[in-house]
Amino acid sequence: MKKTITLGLTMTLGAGLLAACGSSENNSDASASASDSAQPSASAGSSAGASPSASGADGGSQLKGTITWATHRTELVDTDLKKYVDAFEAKYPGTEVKIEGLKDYEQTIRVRMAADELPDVLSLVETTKADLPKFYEPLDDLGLDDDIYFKDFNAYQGKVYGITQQVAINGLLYNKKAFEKAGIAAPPKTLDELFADADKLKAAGIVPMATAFKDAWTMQYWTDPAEFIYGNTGLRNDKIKTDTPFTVDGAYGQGLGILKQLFDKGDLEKDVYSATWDQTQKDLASGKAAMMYIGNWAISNLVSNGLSLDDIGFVPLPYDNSGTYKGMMRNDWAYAVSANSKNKELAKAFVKFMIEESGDYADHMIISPLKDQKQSLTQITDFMSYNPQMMEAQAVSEDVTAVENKMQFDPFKFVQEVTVGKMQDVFDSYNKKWAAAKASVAKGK
Amino acid sequence: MPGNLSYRQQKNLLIVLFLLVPLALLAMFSLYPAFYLIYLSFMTWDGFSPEKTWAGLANYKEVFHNREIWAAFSHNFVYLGWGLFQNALGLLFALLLNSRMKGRNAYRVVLFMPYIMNGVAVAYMFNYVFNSEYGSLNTLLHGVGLDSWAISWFGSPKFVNHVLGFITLWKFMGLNMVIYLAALQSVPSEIVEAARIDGASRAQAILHVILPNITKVIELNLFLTIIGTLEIFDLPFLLTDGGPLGASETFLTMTMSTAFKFNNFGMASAMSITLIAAVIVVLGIQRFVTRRWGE
Repeated sequence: MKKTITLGLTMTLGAGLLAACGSSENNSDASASASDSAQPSASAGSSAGASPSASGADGGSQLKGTITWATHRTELVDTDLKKYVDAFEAKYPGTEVKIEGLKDYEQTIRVRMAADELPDVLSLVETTKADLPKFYEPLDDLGLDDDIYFKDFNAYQGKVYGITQQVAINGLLYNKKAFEKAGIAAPPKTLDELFADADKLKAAGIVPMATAFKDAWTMQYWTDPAEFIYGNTGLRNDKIKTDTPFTVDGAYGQGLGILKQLFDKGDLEKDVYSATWDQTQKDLASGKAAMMYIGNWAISNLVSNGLSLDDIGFVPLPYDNSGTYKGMMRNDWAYAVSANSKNKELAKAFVKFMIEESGDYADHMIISPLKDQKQSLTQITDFMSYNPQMMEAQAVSEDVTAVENKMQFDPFKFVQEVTVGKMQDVFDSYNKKWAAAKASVAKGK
Repeated sequence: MPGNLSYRQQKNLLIVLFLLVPLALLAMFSLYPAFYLIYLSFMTWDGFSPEKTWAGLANYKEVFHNREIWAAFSHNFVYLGWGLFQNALGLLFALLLNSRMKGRNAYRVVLFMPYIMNGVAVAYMFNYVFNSEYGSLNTLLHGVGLDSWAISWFGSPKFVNHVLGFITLWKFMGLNMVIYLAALQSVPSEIVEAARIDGASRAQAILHVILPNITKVIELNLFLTIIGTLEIFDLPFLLTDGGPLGASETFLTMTMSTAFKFNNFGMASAMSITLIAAVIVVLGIQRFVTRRWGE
């Protein structure tokens, strides 16, 4: 008995000591990083304080100090992003940009947000619009407002708080070799042709349309046809005007109906529930699957999976038989500067550098957020040769977000359910939840 | 100064000093978060904005009114069913391996091995086994001509929870077995022998002598199993992420998405408290049943 007590005591003490060590280590760590950020920011504060008084907003040569840049692009931190930072530091001697790649980016940043410890430059994590000024610094003085896409996406009361890091165009991505094998000479120009081509591909033993259904997020692009039919990108936000936003003969029903028809005819993966994005990339590259409706950024994924750039086609999705086309542009994570940054001048200069000078878009086959940037990728020029009417996706409005969160609306799952379920039933249940959540949110106000 | 203290005072001082660090740690890392959770469950909070507003019981009302949450909770009971089976199987293997069997140590190691494996590794392994097109199980089924059995295991709303339940059984059966084995070895061999001499068959000896001697351990194993199954999270999160279409959501995966996907921390906290209450209720029933059976 006595022995166990001693043992227990020793263990408790041991654990206590261990924990104490751990916590003190954490403390020293925290204080180290705190002083780390305090020191440069102190010097930065003085330089930042000095430069506006000395030469107004134009303080290019006085840029000094250190900033931290948190990014979600973890796979590029030690390679390309390092290259851009080196170029920036070479251009402005005496500056230092610390890159921090965060694996679980959004969660990590949200925690820091609550603790008021945002890094100087970061990828903007969405808040309610009214909260934007609390966390982020307006970027209007960069002089980019009129040159960029999606300037309204992260804006509040006329001020821009985030600049998208790239623009994505959604289109029908296809493997030219797979088309050839099925005897298809040109990509489909009408919806009927799309279905006919799907039949030919199926006959040739190729999966006509890949979706990566299991991973769910890949389904989100399929709401684009609904917005094409609706005529503008306000479809999701306009839901607030009605209690029954989802109707079979409305934009949602018709738009999602394209995917549903493909599913019903067996044109998607054989077992959609086990189709993942990892596997889909490989299948598209190898020609086991032929098409996918997704953003242009996926082109580089196919290239890295071994498909030659010449064999990749990218065209607008024919959503009807009219022969006119629309293309959806979506924004990506946006560059933002923390409202609490101690060195806003430098942080803003870095954002400007990343957008205008880094060459990021060319390196990664993506589309620059700058409207005037000439696109060199043939896939994009091919896409544009169809003269599609380009539409800019909109931010989800605050009241719609409130209702959607209340009803726990998962847009990916919604598309999945419509695809495999009975459309009328799925819409009915979502309409019911929507109306109830809308009423309860309205009551809460 | 210590010289002025009486022996009693010195002793108390020492006790307080020794307890200070562990108690402070306990308060900081267990009690404070627990009370904060209760506090949050009465609030409306999106997880990042500085303001939290009082919501009263609204969060709890919503938890109880939301049918999807309780549908997800019903999936937990599929795991519970497999968990009970897992206990029976663990006990069976423990009884088998407690005899003088050849190579029993090797069997023990093999059966316990899955428990040592990392949960994520197990998830990836079974992701391969149960993949409908490339998986080893379906390849085997096709190979022996049972084509109609080779279904999409993670894609079928009917089967997905059972598949996940089976994987939990595979992973945790070894732990149950080892605990049972230790308990069986602590049953005094004299009383078993005495029973055998009195003419009890092997089955009778097990049923009437051995099992009543290890009820405490059976209770412990059930306790662990119930908590584990009602709070199952990692496997469905990693393997199916609640899919297909929510068929494998569990109470905890729903709680996680309520908090981190729908930014409703108040309701997520209320869900956590509800889960604790539910676990207490189920454990209460289990204790009640095992007590009666033990007497």
